[in-house]
Amino acid sequence: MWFSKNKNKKASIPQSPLTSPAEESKQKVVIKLKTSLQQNIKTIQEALGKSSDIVTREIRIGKQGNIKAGILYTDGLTDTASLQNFILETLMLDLNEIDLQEKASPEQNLISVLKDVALTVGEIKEITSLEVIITSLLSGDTILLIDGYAQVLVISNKKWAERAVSEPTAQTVVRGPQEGFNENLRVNTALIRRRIKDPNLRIESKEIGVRTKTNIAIVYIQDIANEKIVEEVRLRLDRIDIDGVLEGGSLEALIQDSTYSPFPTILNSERPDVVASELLEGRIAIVVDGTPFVLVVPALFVQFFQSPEDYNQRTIIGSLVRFLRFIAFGISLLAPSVYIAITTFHQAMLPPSLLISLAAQREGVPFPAFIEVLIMEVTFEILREAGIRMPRSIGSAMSIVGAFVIGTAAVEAGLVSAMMVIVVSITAITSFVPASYEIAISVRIIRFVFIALAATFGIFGIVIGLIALVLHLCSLRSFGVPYMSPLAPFNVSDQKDTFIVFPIWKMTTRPHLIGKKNMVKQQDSASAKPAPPKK
Amino acid sequence: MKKYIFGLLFFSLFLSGCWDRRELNQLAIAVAFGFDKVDDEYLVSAQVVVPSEMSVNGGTGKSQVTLFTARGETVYEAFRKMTKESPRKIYPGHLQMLVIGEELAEEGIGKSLDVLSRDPEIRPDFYVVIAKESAATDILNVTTTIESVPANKMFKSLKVSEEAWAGTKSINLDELLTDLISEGKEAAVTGIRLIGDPKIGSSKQNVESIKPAATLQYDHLAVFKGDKLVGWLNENETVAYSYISNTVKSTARPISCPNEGVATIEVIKSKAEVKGDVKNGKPEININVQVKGNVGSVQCEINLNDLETIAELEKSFEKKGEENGKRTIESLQKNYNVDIFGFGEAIHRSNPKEWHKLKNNWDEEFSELTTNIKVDLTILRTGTTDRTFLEKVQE
Amino acid sequence: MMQNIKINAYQFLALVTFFSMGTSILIIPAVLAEGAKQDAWIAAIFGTIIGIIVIWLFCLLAQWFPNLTFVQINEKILGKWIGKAVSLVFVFMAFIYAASLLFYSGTFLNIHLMPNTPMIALNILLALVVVIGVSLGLETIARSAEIFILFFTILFILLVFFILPEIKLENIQPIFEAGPLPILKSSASFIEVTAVDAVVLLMIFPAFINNLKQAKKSFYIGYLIGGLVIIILTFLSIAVLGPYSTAAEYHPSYELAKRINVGDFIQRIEALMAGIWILALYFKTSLYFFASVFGLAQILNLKDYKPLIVPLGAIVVVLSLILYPNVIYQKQWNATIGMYYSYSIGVVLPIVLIIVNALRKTHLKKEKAS
Repeated sequence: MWFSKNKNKKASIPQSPLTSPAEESKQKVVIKLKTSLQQNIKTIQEALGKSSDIVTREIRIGKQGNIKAGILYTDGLTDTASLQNFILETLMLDLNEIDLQEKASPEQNLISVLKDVALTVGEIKEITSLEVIITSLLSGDTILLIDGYAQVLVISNKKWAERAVSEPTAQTVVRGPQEGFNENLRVNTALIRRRIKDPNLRIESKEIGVRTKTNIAIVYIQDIANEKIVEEVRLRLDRIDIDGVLEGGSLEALIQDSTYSPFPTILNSERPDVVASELLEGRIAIVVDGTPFVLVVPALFVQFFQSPEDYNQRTIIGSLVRFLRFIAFGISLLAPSVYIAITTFHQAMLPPSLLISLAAQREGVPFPAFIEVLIMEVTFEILREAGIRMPRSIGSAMSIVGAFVIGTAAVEAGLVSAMMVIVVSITAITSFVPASYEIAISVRIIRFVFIALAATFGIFGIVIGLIALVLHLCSLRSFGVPYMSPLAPFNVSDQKDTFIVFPIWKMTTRPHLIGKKNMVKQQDSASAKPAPPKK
Repeated sequence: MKKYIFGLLFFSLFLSGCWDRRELNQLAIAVAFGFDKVDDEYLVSAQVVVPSEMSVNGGTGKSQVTLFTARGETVYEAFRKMTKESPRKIYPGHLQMLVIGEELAEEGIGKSLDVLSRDPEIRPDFYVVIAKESAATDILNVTTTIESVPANKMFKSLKVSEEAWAGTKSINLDELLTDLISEGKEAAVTGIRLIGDPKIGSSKQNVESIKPAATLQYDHLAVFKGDKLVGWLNENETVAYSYISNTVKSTARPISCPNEGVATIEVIKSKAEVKGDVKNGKPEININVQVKGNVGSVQCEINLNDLETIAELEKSFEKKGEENGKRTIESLQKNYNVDIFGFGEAIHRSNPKEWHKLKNNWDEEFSELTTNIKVDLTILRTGTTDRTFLEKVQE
Repeated sequence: MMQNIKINAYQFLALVTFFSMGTSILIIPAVLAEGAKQDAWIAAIFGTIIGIIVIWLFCLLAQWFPNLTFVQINEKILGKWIGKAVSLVFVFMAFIYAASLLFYSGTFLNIHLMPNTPMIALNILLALVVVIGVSLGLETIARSAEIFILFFTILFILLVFFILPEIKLENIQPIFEAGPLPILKSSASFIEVTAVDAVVLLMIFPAFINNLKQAKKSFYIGYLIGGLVIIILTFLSIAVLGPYSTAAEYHPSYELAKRINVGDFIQRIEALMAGIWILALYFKTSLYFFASVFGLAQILNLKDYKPLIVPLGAIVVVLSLILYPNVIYQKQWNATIGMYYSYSIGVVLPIVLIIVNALRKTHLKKEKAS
């Protein structure tokens, strides 16, 4: 359980009022505590509306129990075992023989003495601000109040039920680590830290959401990441003023560059190895508490086609698979529209035998090809959506119904032509190929635009659509970096990891717009080239 | 607000759209056209496939093609008039054959071909043939076996016979038009003949018997002067024409053996070089045909192991070829006075300046043209064996 | 005004390449074959070589004023009012040509691909993406040019590769029959379309270029690539279609694509090729349109050129429909008025500017000396 210790060490950095003066000034009225224990407990309880999950315990400590003290914690968020072993036991039993008052001095009051000498818990802080106390209490820390002091000790011993680190479900690979992020911020940063043991790996923390006070961490490698982009990330996060952020997705929506574009400009990953490799390229990760998906910026178009497996496999196979993904992307984008354009506008493009066979299939189909495609595509989209939402046990029934309804019955009933089923199936299959789910979704929408264009203007419409699409892609930026880089602006050395994957020893530099500060990944590709020893 | 109005306007573009949309089941896919001339009007016939009869599941057993005809002052008019008969508009993008009736060919084919070079849907890669001794409509009205679409049959058998048998010469519209406009070359188009009974030929009954009552067969080569048909070349002359115009891919030629009997040379490669020259103001053509071949069959007693025999066979082939070439050229010079070989073009290429003097009365020059033809055969192989079992056959 | 936007040398190369072959790939082989017959490809080579001189002229002018657009250079050298007047003529030319290119694409599509679609719909659609492109800015156009030049190169190489078996070398013989004069004469329009009209590129070169020295190189290289593409296409058209058909067709290179037939399998792909012609046409139209919109904004001293885009875009569509009554008229207009217009803006004007500027300089020097 080494990481839970790690968690304890860092957990309360965001709550510290001392580290960030900006936060201090944001709290307009800092309610200070009084010296009376009863009053303090009452104040806290009232602030929380006497919530039933807040446990209050009054105890007596010191020699003969002459000092009144109070302990508050949130049931379910606090580790009760450590509360008993290291806090209650220490205070109530071990300190019985010691005169605490004597130890206290003008320089060091009783609270400090307890903190420095008595409590055997990793992280303890002295706090005076009520607001901070409440936040800490609600995040699972234990509050120790001592009668006669306007300070409290915030003892960090959070522990709650959480999912263990398990296999990633959305982004699976055949070869590669089978470890995925979970919902705990600290576990997630630890998973990253474990992969990059570099002193320059920085983890900055922030709290987003006026009510949820969600912890997030900005992770980057200081001497690689572009400072301007890091600063931009901070700025955008600071600008957020919302009551709550419950998932990385809503945070993404708040900081992304372009809302109405179908294309994602922020990458998300639930794989620590992917995030670590992005960090090494100079990107910045944003870890959000409560989300197993870590956001990575800046994200480029080509990144959504890169899978960690490309590098884990042999170079040639990796290249082939990478190239295949781009082709599949093109097919899933254009297949139905090209089919429409050719069969309803440019029949001259079909070989004679194919034309006749297609014409034979279409005899008796009541709808124009355009409507046919729409029916099939929409049916497929509905099936897919239904398949995702449905309990897993019904999933197989779903696919049987889908296959029969779309595949066989519709053709036999003469509603659609057999070729159309093939086209839609190819489109559907290829749309699952790109490495990222986000890009696959964006294609789903654009595909319909292309279908409409092709149904009115044929190939010309498709070309116009492509021009508009590329214009749109070229106008996008992700945190200041052109989205289509390294294709536009073109960069030769970055092509080693674009359409095909070069051998790893040949990739000597980082992406030029992202790792600007520290371009060199490895010094010399010639010496890095693996070869048998020379005799 | 402005944005939305623009958006609406833009989408109205789509709604009123689909101007050129044609579903596959709105097309009458024409695979062959036939042009005839009847009483100063063009009679255009179009062989159109019936898709429902072509489906994988098999049709109802009716004919897979149908024939529409229409008459008009121009070919284009007739095309459009055809919709009077056809439920769908004729779509000529996949045209494979154009058959021109002999009568029309004699009057001149140029005027009827203009529309084909102008229409954007027509691809000029279909074959053009002349219906010998019959009307184009009759040719398109014959059912065929193996290939149940007659146009496919015509297309494929012309292609195959050109490749395997040099006695036919395919020409597509593109090449035909080039020949028609060329100053130093006249057009030559393969003829097609209907053999047998045209009445039975047009019915399904025709293909139900093993030997169809009526078949289509390529025969002879129509020679054009300008765009007018002036005569026909027979098969041997066509072969010579194929050699000289360098379109022989593979063929079989019988030659006489040194002693008696015949053997066949399988030609596998032939390359003709036609060089023009002008000597003392007189044009001269030198033709050099390099042929590579195998011994295809031997019907005489010879020893193929002997190099001399091979040399004699080669010489025999060369002699025959040269004679045939010479005869063909002479017959064209004498009978038709038509330069279908492109000798004029050859002189244009080699002596452009002299050509400008010659071209105005090229027909006369052609009739007095000196041509030297040289054939050179190299025998490469003799099949799987180097002898013939005929030697051992007891009398 | 968006002076802070800079494009790099490679992007400029892509733009120049697209510009110099934009319309030419569709029509120039026919124009060349009209006069030079089978020597059309030699005329293309001649034209490319002479065109370099024109490009050199532009570069000379540009390097004196590395931060100004052509409109600003006009004002600087010729004075405010004469400069503005001359610029207006220049901007009008760019605008007319933008409309003319829309007409080209509309005609092309009407002839070959969609005879029943009204030209206005086709032109609106193309103008729409032009307007989108120009309002997204020069940088976006340049970047997409960078991406599309890859597409273009691949498809073009495929086209050349596939058409090679159809070549009949007899078609180009006898070589050099026409003699030098007709060849030179027919290359005049080639120079106009590829090099002289490139004067509109002075609206982005050198004002929006981040590295003048490299961009100058790209200007030459881009032009040469464009020229090479035309030379290859002209050669192929002549060698495959023959000089007569090349001259007779409106769009010989499209006919060329129709001839592709590799093993009866790769065939009938001309609509695909039409796609890449449209692509090249799009960039040329965008550059003309950008030059006219941006130039007009500078003449009117507007802070931002963007408000002009949509109204001018609407006008350009209308203009494209009324500019020429029919294809024949357009062909003749190009050979006469269009040619004079282009040459006076693209050759005479730069020479005048260079001379005036040189005179001024020596005059200033003399004044200083005295």
